[in-house]
Amino acid sequence: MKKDLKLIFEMSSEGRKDFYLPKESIPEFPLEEMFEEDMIRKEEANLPEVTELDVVRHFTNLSKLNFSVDNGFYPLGSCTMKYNPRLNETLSLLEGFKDVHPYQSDKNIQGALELMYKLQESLSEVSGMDYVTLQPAAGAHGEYTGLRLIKAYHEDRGDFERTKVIIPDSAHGTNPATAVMCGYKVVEIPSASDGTVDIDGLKKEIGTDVAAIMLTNPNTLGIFEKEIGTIASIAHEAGVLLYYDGANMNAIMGKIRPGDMGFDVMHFNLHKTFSTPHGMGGPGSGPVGVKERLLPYLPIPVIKKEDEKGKYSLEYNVPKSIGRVRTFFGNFNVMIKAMAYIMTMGGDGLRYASEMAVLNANYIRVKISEFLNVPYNSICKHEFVADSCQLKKNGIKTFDLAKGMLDNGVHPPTVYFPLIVHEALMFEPTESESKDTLDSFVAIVKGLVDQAETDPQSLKEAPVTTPVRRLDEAKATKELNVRYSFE
Amino acid sequence: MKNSYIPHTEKEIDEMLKVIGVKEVEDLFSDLPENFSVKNLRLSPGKSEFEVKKQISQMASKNVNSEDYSIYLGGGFYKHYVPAVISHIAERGEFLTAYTPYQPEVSQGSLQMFYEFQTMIAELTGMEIANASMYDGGTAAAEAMLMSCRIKKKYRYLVSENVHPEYIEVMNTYAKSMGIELVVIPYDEATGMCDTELIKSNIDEKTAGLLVGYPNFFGVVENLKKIREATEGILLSVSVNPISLGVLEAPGKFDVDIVTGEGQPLGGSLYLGGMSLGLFACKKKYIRNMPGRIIGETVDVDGKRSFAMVLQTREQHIRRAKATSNICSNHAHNALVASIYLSLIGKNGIREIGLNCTRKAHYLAQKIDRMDRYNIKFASPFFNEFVVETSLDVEEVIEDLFEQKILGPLSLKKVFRNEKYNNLMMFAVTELNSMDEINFLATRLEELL
Repeated sequence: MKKDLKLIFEMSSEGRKDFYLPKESIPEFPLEEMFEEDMIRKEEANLPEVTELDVVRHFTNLSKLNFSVDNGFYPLGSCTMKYNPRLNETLSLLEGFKDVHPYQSDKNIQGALELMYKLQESLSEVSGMDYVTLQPAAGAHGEYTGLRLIKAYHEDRGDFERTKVIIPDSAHGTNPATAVMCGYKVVEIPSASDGTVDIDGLKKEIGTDVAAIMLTNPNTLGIFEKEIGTIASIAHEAGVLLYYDGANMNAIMGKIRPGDMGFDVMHFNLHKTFSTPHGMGGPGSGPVGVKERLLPYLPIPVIKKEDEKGKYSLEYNVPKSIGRVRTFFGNFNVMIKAMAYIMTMGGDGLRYASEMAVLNANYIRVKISEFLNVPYNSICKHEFVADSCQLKKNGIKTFDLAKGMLDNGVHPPTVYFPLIVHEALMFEPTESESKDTLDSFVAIVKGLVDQAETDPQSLKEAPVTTPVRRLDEAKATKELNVRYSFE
Repeated sequence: MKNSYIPHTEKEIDEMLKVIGVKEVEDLFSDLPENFSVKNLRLSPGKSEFEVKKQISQMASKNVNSEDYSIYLGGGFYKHYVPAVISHIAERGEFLTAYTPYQPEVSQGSLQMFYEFQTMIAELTGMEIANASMYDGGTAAAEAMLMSCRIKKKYRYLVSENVHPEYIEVMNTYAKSMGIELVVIPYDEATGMCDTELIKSNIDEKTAGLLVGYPNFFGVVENLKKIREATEGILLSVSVNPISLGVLEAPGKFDVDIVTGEGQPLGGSLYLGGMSLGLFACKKKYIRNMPGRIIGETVDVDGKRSFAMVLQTREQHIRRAKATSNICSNHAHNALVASIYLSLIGKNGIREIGLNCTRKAHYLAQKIDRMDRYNIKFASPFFNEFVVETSLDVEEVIEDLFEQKILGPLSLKKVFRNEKYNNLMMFAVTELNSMDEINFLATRLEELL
């Protein structure tokens, strides 16, 4: 059906219902006896009145409008759209995990605590950090937790002068947004000509008013900061702590560890590096790893292993803790999937995954650089950035190339990021993809670049094969129709 | 070499290396400083699918699984019935393995679902608009505080002490880093309700807003009309249990400014508190100050109805340091679950479930209140949860009930980590607690005397 898909509310028929509770004889206390008159609901919420089949059909039809990793190649830079193994899903649905209440006593959740403790240990090993907390709900939430730990560390030492956080101009948008939420001023430093941190620029900004430097390594151009040792020394000599944004961890597992490079605190994205699905935007999970000096400030509760027989407990008595960053223990259902992945891959498997991710990225970098400008065209890690400026003369922008890819059944790379490359296309193929897939993809991109020369107009009209075509985004923002109107 | 989920053959690797112009894979890592490099990770070797399945299943079996018990634990997470359709639909790869809908032409499934979700949450809460989800009830409450301070440009915020204690802990963490003075206002000890007089006297010219629970942590249904009257001039936020809104008046009817809440009861499983869903709704005039993703309706070039992310200029990927929040990943997939749930139970079901829960809870409360040595702590209206004071040892009561295959009640001392709550326990009742189960629990509580 090529027709508009109805909204579930438009399928509704007054009085239709397909949901039944058991027949029991429950005392029929009138609402007026239970609640104050003012507090009783008068008007029903306009929820759908449909059958179970309507629901199944509606959501199945909706799902078919989505592109996903299961549909095809999804080389979205900085997002690590690797395959999401189904074993992990199966295990996360076990009743022994799914049906456990957060307020059950410690002795009744030993299996869950064991899984979390083992995941913490595994992540510590992968990262070279001393301890990991699993509480943060997402990458940005991990950044928040990490910077709060840094703040607590400085303040505990009586140092209240550090009001700034240094962030390179190539950083993820969450970095500066997080720094502000932690009450810091952001100092952005420009990248050097090869896309890495400008050491002289850094030296100029560093001082006793700086709390932290936030970096990702490899950076968002996929380039490894070779001078990371120097950067760490510059930071530490000035009493500044080094934060590692783990979004790009898929490049370096089993090769080099943030903890060894001199980072003091970091977050992981279990939904990137450790294969848990992105679920249309979440839930993710953003565990935070720390070096020993930050241990006293961890969010509560802290999971402890009491003895070698494997009894686990939750410690709430952490006097210098930054407090809670969310309710309960974190996105436990996501943790199960990440643990299953790590156990399946093993240490060697994780290392091999990073090797193949980097091999794939370099392979398409070389091939794509034959017909598109790659501004920093040297050995990259898991991703690289191209620039479509050359097509501007035909009126074609990166935006148009991306839409053209949609017509070819592949998802575009991340576009217009990092901001330091004007018409940026940021490719991250991941280790999941075969050479065949990469070859077909490169051929598609080449075809589009050729099309930009020969028939730019058709590219400006793309996509034509997708469920909807280019949207009127101005109308969306101007009219702000953000909910269905029942009138 | 163990290589689950990785397709490369030796031959392909060689061909690819040749194209790149290097000899071996190791050459691709020659830019890593040698002094920091590692040779291997001290993790167990990779395992086959069935070994992993066995080992992780063993961990699952070490947990007490509430399916084998009757459960009266609540405190923000509730065990409601999860219809069979949910896992079948939610596990579809097109939902599970899609990213944030940055390419709307191939994300209309996600976008339309979010638009429907926003509508359902707005309807349920009686608010004009809702966003496409936050992490959980705690961070949603904290974001309501930040948003209120942003709108009012004032940095003093009030929260009633009977709001979920973990929410207050999260708000406290967020307040501290933003230089917000968070004032916890004690509740009325006799009723368990907000102390409106005390709230009123705590409002000064620096105060941005107040957050209350509805029902509050003790299950007590606050009188939002009185609270609104006491909070003129400041922004009022209400943290809800969405299931209660089948029978309780929608907060929007009281001119509330922001509604937040924990969406887990809407079809989410317990997962040790991990399958959380932050609900966030507000008045439309505040939309530009709202955190998180918002989806709006528009048309495509052919005039076909379509959906797109709107007001992205509030968000971190565009606005960076000036964003309304740092939130990027949200809890989209849990919002899908809530949407499926609300579609299945529908207009009628939300009311029936709410009624069922509250009537059963009242029945149990009535029985318990008649027994010696157990008292209903607060003589106030409540939804599906209530606090009981006992002269028995709460831990011993819980231990005994556990042996009778009953999980709960919740020891309030455990939650508050405060001696003041030593003799208090809280029972939560849902439609899953049958009348037979409830009668059995009551009998057992009586036998303990």
